[in-house]
Amino acid sequence: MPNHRYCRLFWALALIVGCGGTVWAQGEIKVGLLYSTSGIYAGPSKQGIEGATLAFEEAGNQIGGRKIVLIVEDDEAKPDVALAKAKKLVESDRVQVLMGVIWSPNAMALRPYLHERKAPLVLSEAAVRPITQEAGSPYIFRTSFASGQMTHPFGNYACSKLGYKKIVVIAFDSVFGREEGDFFESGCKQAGGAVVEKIYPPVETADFAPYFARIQQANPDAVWALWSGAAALRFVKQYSDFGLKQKYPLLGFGPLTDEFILKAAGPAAQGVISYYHYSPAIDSADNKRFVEAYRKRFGSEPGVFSSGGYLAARVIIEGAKAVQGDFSDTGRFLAALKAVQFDAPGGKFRFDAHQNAIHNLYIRKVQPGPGGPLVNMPIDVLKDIEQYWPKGKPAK
Amino acid sequence: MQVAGFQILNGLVYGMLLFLLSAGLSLIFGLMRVLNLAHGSFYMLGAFIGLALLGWTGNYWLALLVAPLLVALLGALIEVLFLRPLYRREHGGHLDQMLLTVGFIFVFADIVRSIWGADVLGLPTPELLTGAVSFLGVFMPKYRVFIIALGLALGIALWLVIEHSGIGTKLRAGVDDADMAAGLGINVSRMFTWTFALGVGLAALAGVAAGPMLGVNVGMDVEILIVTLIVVVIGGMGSLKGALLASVLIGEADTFGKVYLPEATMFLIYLVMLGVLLFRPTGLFGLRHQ
Amino acid sequence: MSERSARAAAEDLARRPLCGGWIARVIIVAALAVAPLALRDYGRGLVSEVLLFCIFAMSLDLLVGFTGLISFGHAAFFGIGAYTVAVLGAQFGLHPLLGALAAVALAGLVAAAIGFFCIRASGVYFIMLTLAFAQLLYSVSLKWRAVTGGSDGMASPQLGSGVATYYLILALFVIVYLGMHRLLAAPLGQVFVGIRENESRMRATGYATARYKVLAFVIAGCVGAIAGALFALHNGFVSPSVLFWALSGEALIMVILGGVGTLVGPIIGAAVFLLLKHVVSTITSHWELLVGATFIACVLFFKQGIYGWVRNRWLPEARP
Repeated sequence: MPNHRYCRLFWALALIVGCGGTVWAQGEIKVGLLYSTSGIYAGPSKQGIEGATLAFEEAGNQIGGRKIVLIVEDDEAKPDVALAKAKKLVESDRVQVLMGVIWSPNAMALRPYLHERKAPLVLSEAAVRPITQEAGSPYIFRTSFASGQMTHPFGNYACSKLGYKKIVVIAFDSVFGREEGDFFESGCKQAGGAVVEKIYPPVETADFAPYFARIQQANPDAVWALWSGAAALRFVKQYSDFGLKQKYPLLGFGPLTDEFILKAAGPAAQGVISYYHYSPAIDSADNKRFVEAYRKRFGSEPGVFSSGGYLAARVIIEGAKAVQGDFSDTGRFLAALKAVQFDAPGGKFRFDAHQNAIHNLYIRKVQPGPGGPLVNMPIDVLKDIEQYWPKGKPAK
Repeated sequence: MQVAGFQILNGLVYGMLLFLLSAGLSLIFGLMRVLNLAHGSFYMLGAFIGLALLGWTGNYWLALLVAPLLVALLGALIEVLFLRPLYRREHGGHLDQMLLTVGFIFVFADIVRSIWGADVLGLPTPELLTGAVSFLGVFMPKYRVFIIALGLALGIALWLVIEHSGIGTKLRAGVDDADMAAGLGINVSRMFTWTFALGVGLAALAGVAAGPMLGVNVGMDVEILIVTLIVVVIGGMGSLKGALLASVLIGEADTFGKVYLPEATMFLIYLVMLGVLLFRPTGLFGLRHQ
Repeated sequence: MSERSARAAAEDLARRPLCGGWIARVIIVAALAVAPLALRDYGRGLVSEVLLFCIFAMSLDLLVGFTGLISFGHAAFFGIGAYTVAVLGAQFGLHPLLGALAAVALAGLVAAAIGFFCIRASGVYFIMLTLAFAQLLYSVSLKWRAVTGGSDGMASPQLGSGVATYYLILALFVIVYLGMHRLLAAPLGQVFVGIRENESRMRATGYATARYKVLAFVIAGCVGAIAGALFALHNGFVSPSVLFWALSGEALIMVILGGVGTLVGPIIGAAVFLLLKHVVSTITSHWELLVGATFIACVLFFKQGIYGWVRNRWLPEARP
């Protein structure tokens, strides 16, 4: 019967496709970029990829005579897809190193596989703490930050230097949001302040008005907010629309005033104080060069995710340079990555003993920049902030 | 007391947005028995097209008027080209419609992202409506008051058309019994197209109206899809009255839930829906024989 | 469809030589059995994932295609399967296979409860009720951080060997397929089909249709949980996305795409959907456009799903 053929053909096709494996030219250095290019992290992913692309282009897209090839995959912010794509990159495409990963569950899902496969990953965004602490691995590096790393010192700063003693915390309801809320509180307490209320709306909250009423009732000195993406834009805009900005100064975690929000929210964002290890308005030669190059190449301002991608890519480049583009000895490459130090747009970059980045923390205020439009102007800096160990740093 | 008044008004704002969305979806299902899963995508298209029009003309009111018309036109095209072939299929082709509309969700999401990029964009509040008012002793942004007014105005307009006009009578006849209506000489086919166009046009209007308050981003299509479906189901498919009541109910429940039962925010609306369906298995005003 | 054709359809299922008959099936299974020798880890992992979603799709088709109950909450059982294995492994060190058994039992209970409530409604109201219950479970997985790890997810015990996992999945795939085939050919299966075709008539002939609908729910739920448990074993990681409505939607897509009311249909649908997504997304960033357009094209040109089209073209004599 003719149908046999078609059924079998179909399955055979499926198997062949499943084998994957395109044959790449020898001698190339392949870097896998695992981002969430569809869905809610599409914007940050695009910026991260742009930042990385710029870094590789600056290096001439080659190390030690070998051409650098970037392979971008979409993990759809789903752990099982991330795992499948990582497997494809490592086994099928045979990348020398992976970078990216925004969504924390994806990072955790990849950890056992990467550790077992001895495949290096330079994490450029996911902030899940254990991956550079109790669940660390010699194959996983992080150029962004561990949760608490920046928020704990900022909590301290807000309640000491900025003088706020009564604060309301409002962050999106996830493990990350709640952890950061707790770390803000611990930092704030250290400096003699107090968090009078913690509010954790759902991640996809559209309307914050009901929560504004709660804030008004608590009558704090300031409000600390952790939001990102579309929710951050909504929060900033609505906070200003309701006139809360004048009454309760708004302190935000970096992405709350990310560059695209400054563009989209306009005057609503003015006056908001935020903190992050980067701002395009940092006044240094390295940064000016980076911002100019980014503007020219992509036509927009580099925000937190752009610099995230750029940093991770720079680390890979420096590590690759140190081994002259020879990845055959993974141990040597890992050691090179660990020892990487360079002048990043945000200051000197290096890893701590647990392969997590050490950053300068910039306290920024949204105000008109030299050109006119609103920028995240650094008004202070806390130097060399390391990852925060809530239960105390281990002896190592 | 003031806080309660504030929350009630807030709930009404959210409710009115939901009404604009759910009215269209309810009409489409009530008449055509089509579960338009791409309804959120039309909402998103409306917002983006509105943004583009605003960029070209600098006039928000123009965008608010024209974007829904453009989306309605697109909806009419889609109905004629893609949905019509499915009506005559087995069991009404419901499952096929679901897969088709899901296909459109994917397609529209990609198109929007290709044209406007993946970034979150802002729709500036029109000059006339910036600032806030003291409304019944409550401090409320003018724009939100406008949304309440818009929702009520459209509700009244729809009610007038559906209950008190020739077209509306034909529509109601079609909702009750499409075959009979066709037998009476009503061009059911054309009515389907108009209804679909109207329904998605309303969704697009909601998108432009929500823009200044909620921003414009890829992903807004699925963000409101589920809650819209819930509202329509609670209200009863095909009932405009139901859509209005359910929208306000969910708007208020969501708002008060956020204040007094914050831990339950995520699943409160599902519990409300379960509660309603327990006592009225076809929604508040849904027809029994469906 | 007239009553006679409905009965004919049900009987047909018992003896219809689907797509070439048993020889083709044996050859396919044999090919799958030796596949790990030819495939590297990545390819084998992909086939594992396709097969377990085939199981999931088949379980949903029992509800949608055979009993006529369109469920938008099937992820609930998938999630119960996955989380039970993960949680019992983490809390009690329970071996994942035992965890899987517990998962199936739990899913059966939950399915009975959910089914009992949902069948009071019909049409789109039924669809939304199933969605609501699944979303409630989703909220639980997010909120119960201590046990489920909340939004960050949690690790799941695995069998320790990718190859062993593959063969387990393949074995269960075959067992589920044969089991469902048997079930649907049996009188019970014909009751299900009868309910889909004309429920009031079934009631008139004395069947307590409500009970049968709940039974269909329970069976579908248990099999769905098997798929979920295998998912946990395969990935070694479980997050709330296993309970999210998007997964329920994807399962429905797989079933409709492949061909509702058959067993091979969901298998093809799951395979096509997953391969389409995986392969296309590595080729272009516009994979959503292509996947969406494929759905639209399939709906318009393949009137009864891919498999329905294949059958109509090559096996016209099997059509009722």
